[in-house]
Amino acid sequence: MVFPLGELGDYEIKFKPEHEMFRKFIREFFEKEVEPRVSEIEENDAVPADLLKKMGEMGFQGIAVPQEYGGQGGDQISMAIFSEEAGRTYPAIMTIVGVNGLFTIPILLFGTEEQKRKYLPPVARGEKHSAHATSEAGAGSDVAGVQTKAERRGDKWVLNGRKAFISGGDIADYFLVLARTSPPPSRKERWKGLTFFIVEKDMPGFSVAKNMKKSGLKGSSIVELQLDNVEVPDSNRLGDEGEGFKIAMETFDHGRIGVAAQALGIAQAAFEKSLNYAMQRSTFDRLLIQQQAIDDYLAEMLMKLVTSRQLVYWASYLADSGRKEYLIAASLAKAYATEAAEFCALKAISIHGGVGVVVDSHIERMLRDVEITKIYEGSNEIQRLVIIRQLIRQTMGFDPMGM
Amino acid sequence: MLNMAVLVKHVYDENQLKVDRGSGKISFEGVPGKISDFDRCAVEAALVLKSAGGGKVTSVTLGPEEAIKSLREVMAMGVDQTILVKEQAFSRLDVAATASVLMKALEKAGGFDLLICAEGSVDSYTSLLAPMLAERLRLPLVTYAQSLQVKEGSVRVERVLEKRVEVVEAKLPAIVTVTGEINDPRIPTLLQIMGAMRKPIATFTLADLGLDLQSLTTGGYRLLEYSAKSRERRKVIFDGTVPEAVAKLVDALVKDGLMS
Amino acid sequence: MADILFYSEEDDLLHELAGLATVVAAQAGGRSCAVVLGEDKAATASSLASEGVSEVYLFKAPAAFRAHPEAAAQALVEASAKHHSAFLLVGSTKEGKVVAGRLAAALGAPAASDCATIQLTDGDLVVERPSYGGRVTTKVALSGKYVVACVKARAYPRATPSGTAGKVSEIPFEPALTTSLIEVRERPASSVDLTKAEKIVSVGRGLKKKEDIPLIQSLADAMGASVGCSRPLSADLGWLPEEAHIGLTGIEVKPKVYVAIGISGQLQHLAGVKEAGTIVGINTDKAAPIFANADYGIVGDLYQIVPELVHQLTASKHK
Repeated sequence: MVFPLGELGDYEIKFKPEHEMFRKFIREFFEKEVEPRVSEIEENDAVPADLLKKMGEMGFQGIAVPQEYGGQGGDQISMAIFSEEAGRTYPAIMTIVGVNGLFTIPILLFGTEEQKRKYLPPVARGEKHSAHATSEAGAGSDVAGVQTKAERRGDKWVLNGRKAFISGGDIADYFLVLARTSPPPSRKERWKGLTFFIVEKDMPGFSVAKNMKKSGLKGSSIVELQLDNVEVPDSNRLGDEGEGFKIAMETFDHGRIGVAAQALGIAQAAFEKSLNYAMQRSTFDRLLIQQQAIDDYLAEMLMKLVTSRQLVYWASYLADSGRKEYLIAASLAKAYATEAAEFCALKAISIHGGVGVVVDSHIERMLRDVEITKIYEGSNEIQRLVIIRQLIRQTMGFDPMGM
Repeated sequence: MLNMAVLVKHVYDENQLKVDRGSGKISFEGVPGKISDFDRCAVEAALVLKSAGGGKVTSVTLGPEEAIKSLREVMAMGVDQTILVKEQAFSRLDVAATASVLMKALEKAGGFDLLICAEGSVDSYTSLLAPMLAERLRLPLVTYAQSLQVKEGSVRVERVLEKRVEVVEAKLPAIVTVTGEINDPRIPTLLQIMGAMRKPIATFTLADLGLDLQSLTTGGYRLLEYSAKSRERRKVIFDGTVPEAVAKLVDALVKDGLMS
Repeated sequence: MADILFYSEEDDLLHELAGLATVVAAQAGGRSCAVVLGEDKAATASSLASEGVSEVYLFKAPAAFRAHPEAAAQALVEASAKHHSAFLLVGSTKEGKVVAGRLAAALGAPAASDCATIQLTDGDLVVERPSYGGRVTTKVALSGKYVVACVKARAYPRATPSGTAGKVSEIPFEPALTTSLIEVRERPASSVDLTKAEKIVSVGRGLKKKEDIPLIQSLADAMGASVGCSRPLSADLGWLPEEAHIGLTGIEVKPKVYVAIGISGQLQHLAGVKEAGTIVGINTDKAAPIFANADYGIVGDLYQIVPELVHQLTASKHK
C-alpha cells in the first residue's frame, strides 16, 4: 500500500505532446484576448459579448465533450490545462465556461440519445450556454435538502420552487434543475426522491431573478431562478425518477478537478507576479529578492504551487486512465490547491507591499477570486470528509459513516 | 487552384535569452525555441487566401529537430503540407546559404504560384531573404504587404513604406512578404491541435537536396561576436505624493539640462 | 584594394553614405562612386561630385522608376561590373533592403542589413547590426569580390562640399520591371519627424481612451516635445498615426529625453528607444519592465501625474 493507492506506479502522470501545445495556445488566447480587458470586466462586473462569442468559437464549452456531439473530444488533462490558464489570467472565465460542464457531463453520463443530440452540440459549440441548478437558499452543501418540487401530470412534470447561487444563470439558455419528485422514505434517506430536469429558459413560468454582487469572480454572475408552475415534458427528465442525488454527486465528482486547476492557476499567477516584482523592486539598497524574508515567502509559495500542480495533473491522469481512484485524488487536489492558492495570494500581497492592495495592480484581486474556490464545488470541509470516507471505502471496502 | 508556399522559421525566443548583465555575454543554452512571430502572420495570410478562393498551403522550414514542435503549431492552424529540411547547424548558414537551401526545398514542394513569407524573422530581421529568393528564382517580389488579394493570376498588394502607401500588382508566380500588421493569426482549437499531431512532416537532409554544410558556410559572411551590452539606466524611482514625485522629476531633468 | 559604390533612394541617406564612402574608400585605397537613378537627378549627381565622390553614375531612367528597387538593383549590378572589386553600401530603408537583397543575390555577394557601424579591417568589411529585438548586437565580417552592406540612417554624418570635382557619367537605362505600380498615396507628413525629435513624449496602453490624447499633447507642448506611441495605440487602436509608432517594427528614435507614459516597456517597444539619452517612465504597475529600463520613474496614475507635470513645468517657465 502506498496510500491512498496501491503502488508507486499509480502516481505516474503522462502527458501527450498535444497537451503542451494546447497549453501554449490557450495561454496565448488568454494573454491576447482576456488580459487586456480584465480592468473593464472588473469595473462592469460583466464579460463583453464579443469576448463571450470568441470563447464560444474556440469551443471552450465543449473541450471535454466527445466530437460526435459537437465537442473537441479532449480529456481531463486538457480540461485542467484550460482551467489552470484561465485561473492564471482571470479565474472568472473558468467558472463561466466550467459551469457548462455541470450540464454536459450529467447528460453525457445519464442522458438519452435524444437528449444528447439535442442539448450537447449547441452548448459544446458555444452557440448556447447552460447552467446547473441544484443549490437553494436552504440547500448548498446539503443537496438532499432541496425543496423545489416536481409533480407529475400525465406526460409532463410541473416544477415549483426557487433556486439560489446559480452560476451563469443570467446567460444560460438551458438549465439542469434538481427537484423533489417524491418525499423521502425516512429521515436517514433524505437523498432519495430527487430528480433532474432539463429546463429551457423560454419555458413559461421560468424566470431569472436577482443578480448578486460578489467580492470576486467578477463577470461570472450568480442568480436566483424562480419556477412557477413550469411545465417540463417527461422527455426532459434526466435519468430515472429518484436518481437525482446520485447524478448530482457524480457530476460534482467530475467537476472537482477543474476547480483545483483554477486555483492552481491563481497560485501560478501569484508566484509569477511576486517573483517578477522581487527581481525589480529595491528597498534598503538591495533588491527584494536579496532579502531573506522575501525568499522565505517565495520558497513557500513555490513549494505549495508545485505540490498543487502534481496533485491536479495526477488526479486528471487517473481520471483519463479510467481509474476510480481519481475520486480521492480529485478531493485531495481540490482541498489542497484552493488553500495553497489562498496562501499564495496572501503572500503576493505581502511581497508587493502597499501596491498589493491597489486595485490597478491586480494583486488583491487574486485573493478576492480565490475565496470561493474553497467553498464551491463541494466545500473544503466536505472534501476532507470525502477524502477519509473514500479512503476507507477504497482500501477496506466499506463506508465508515455506516459503522 | 492556388498553390501557396509559406516560409516558417524556428528561432530562439528573444524574450528568454540568457544575458549576463555584467559582461554582456549571451547564452543560447536551454533557451526555448518558437516560431518567429511574423511567420504565423504569413501562414494566416495564406490560409485566408485559401478560404477565399481555394488552394493548398505548404510550409517550408530549414531547422533543427526541435523545429518539429513549432511546425505542429503551424499544422494546427491549418497548413496542408509541411516540409522540414533538418539540419542541427542551421544557424551557421547566412541568408544567402539559407536561400540556396530553401530554393531546393521549394522544388521538392512542387513549386508554387505564390510564396508568402514574413518581412523578417524576430531573431535577425534582415529583410534580405525574400529579395534574394526573388532574384535567384527570377520572380516578381512585392514587400511590406499590409493587405493581399489574388485575382485572375495576379496578386494585388497594398504596401506600406516610410512615407507612402503603394498599391502594386504582380503576375503569378510571385513572392510577397508580409508585416505583422497584416492580420491576427488564428489560435487553433483543441480539435485542430489534436488533428495536427497525426499529420506527417516531410523531412529532408541537406544531402537529400544535393547540398552540403561545408560549401554552404564559405560564402564570405563570418559571425564574429554577439554581445548584449545594454546601456545601464539609472533606474531611479521618485516617490512621495504626486506633487512631490513630480517635483523631484522636474528637478532632476532641469539639473540634467534637459528642460530648456 | 576595393572601390566603394553607394546608393540610396533617400536624399539625406545618400549624402550620409557619400561621407562614409569617401572615408572608407581612402582606407581601402580605392575610389568612392555613387549610383543615382533618374533623368531628373542631375543636380543631386553634381552635388555628390563636389562632396568628395570620385564618380557618380547617373542612370537616366524615367523619373517614375527611380525609387523602384528592381531598377536600382539592376543599375547597381551594371555599375559593379565596372569595378574589379567593390564594397556596396545601400541606405537601409525598407526599399533599400530589397535592393540590397537582389543585388547581393545577383552578384553572389554576402550581405548584411541595418548596419549601425561599418569598418574596414584587414580587407574585410566589418559591420555591427542589431538582432533579437535589438537586445543583441551582432558583429559580422563580410569578405569577397563584392560585399553588400545596408547602412542605417543617421549612423554617419552627411558629406560636406569639399571643393573636389568628381566625374558624373550619364548612362542610358531601361530597367526591366516585373511589378506594376497601380496607385500611390502619400502618407500625411507628421508635423515633426520623430526620428529627428530631441524630446519625445510617448503613450501606451495605459491611456484609457482616445479622447485623452490631448492630455498627452499638453505635456508635449509644455516640454516642447513631439508625441509618439507604442504599437497598440497606432496599429491596433488607430488613436495615433503609424508614423508615431516607436518600436521594433515601427521607428527608432534618438531623442535627448523620452517620457514613456502608460507604456509597460516590452522588448519590442524598447528596441526603438535604446539610443535615447534619458528615459522617464510613468506607469501604475511597479513591476512594469519600463522602470528597469528607465533613468527616472514615477509609479502612479498618469491621469494625476501628467497634469501635475504640465502644471509644474508651466509654472517653472513663468518664474
